[in-house]
Amino acid sequence: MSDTSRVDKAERLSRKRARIFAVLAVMFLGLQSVYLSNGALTEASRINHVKIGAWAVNALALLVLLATGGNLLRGRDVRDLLDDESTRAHRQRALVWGFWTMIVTAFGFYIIDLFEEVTPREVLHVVITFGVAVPMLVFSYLERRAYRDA
Amino acid sequence: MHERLNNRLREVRTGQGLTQADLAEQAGVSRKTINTVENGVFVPSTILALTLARVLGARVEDLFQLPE
Repeated sequence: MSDTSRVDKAERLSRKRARIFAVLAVMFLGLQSVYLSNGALTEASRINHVKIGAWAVNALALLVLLATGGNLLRGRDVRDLLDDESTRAHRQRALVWGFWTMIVTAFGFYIIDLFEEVTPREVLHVVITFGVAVPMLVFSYLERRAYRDA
Repeated sequence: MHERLNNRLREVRTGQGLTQADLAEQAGVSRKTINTVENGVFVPSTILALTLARVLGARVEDLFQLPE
């Protein structure tokens, strides 16, 4: 593959990745209504355990995607371009956003717990959900912004 | 400490008739990285600044300057 086509290919994949990350994060957030509205986090039952297991697998898969940037089956040369200096900087900023989001959410629950009882599972579920979804959205935004004014 | 970096990357690149993709290819980075450096959104590492200077046959100081 010529170098120019390698750069073009990496750009196509990078733009696609940014779009996919945003869609996956929004879907992940949207799916939380299943957990928060019908007692899936508080009532012990086989179906609820399956739901929680599915959420955990989903969250872990998204974290792996965020950490690796995906495209693991692509050639090394294209993957290097997909994970170059600016991409790593965007990921770093996204993870910082994730950290602060989790801290603020945890503090929020600390205050809510003064007035209304919340279970540890509910707290962990929401903190982890935001901790996964927000960095993905931030990464997607930064990646898409990087192509503006080209 | 300065958080921003002035640069003449776009000017030098276009002066040599190179596209962002050409420069990205020669520097071994994505076009997105070249674009963000040119727009002042991203401050490159020392290694990337030196690489860009070498590819363009310029001194790093000719490409990047601290704001006054």
